[in-house]
Amino acid sequence: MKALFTLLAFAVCTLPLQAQEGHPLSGTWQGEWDGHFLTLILSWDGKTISGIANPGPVTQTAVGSVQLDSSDWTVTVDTELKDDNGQPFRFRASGVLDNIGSPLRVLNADWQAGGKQGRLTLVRQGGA
Amino acid sequence: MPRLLSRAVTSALAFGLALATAHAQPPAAPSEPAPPAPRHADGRINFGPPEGEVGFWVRRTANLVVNPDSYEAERAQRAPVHIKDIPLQDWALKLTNFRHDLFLASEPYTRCKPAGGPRQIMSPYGFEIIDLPELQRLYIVTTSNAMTYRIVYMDGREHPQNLTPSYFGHSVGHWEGDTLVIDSVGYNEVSWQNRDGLPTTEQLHLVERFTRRDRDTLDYRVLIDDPGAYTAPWESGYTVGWTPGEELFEYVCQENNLSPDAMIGEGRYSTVVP
Repeated sequence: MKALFTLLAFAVCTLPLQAQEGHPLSGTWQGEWDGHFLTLILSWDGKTISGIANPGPVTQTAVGSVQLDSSDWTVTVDTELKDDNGQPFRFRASGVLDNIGSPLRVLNADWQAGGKQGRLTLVRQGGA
Repeated sequence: MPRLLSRAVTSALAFGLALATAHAQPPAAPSEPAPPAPRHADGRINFGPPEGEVGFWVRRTANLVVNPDSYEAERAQRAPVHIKDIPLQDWALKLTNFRHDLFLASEPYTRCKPAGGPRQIMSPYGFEIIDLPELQRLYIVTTSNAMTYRIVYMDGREHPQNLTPSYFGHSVGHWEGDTLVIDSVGYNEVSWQNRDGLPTTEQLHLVERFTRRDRDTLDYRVLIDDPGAYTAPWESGYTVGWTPGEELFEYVCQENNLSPDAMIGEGRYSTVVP
């Protein structure tokens, strides 16, 4: 199990982390909500933001809707996630991008899932 | 850094800045027309010095777009196109404005990141185009930034499939009459392709056209096709001038990097500039 975790961690760390100066949402984002880690790997094709959430054999899902309003840099995420047993549930987050010029920009958002809600900070991963 | 080395780097920077400043001014009206562009023995345009001489290219203009909201609006006035005519996607325009609000302090160039495409051609300390027909390659070598070079394959090959995105992408070239045409794809999103703060994505496709109008003038045109950031392709360029009698010099950006002060202004820092 430890080896599998190490392998997964390595896989996440070697996914394309470089994108920094293009679309502000492109790249890998990580944060924690209600004690759960959240990883979003997002890409922009010129019209749509897509990607995967929580890569791994049990938890991975395709990211549902991610919208960016560049007038005020607000972001909304509405997607299905899976818990550690592979059970799907709906997850929503809405917030504002901060420090957009930085490769380590952040998304401060309010999340809702399973009847709970709270505050979440997603940090874009990447070098300076 | 040893004091002597520090002094040398500072001197080189001062020299480079003076050179760049000199070339940022409109060229004086020539008293007589410049000599024609030199040619190789086979008739090809020579982008280097005439035989027996030395020299290199330095930008005369440095911006792709006129942008009244630019941090460098005055300098950008000489650009060939206005930003209102650039088909920027909404997010790309907002990001451009954001970068100028930050005095362009987040430009990776100031952190010594290599910069390709048009950003390489407007490097302040000049560049050379080294034509090696026996290798069927061209090299574009720059002094400033990370003292880097770009390879342009002239052997008729096509771009590889599934390129790993990189700073300089993959460039193939050919001649159209006396104009060198370079087609490039495969860029990463780690650097900026221009000093205008206009973003690009990994979908970027550049077509650059180099025409040596005469010995002293190089017309640089670039078609920017990036459906990730723009709704249509667009074109701009620079005028580049020949600097006779000078040669590129060693410049190591990572040593005593003064770019944040020199390019942005004393006391103007962005949190993203280390």
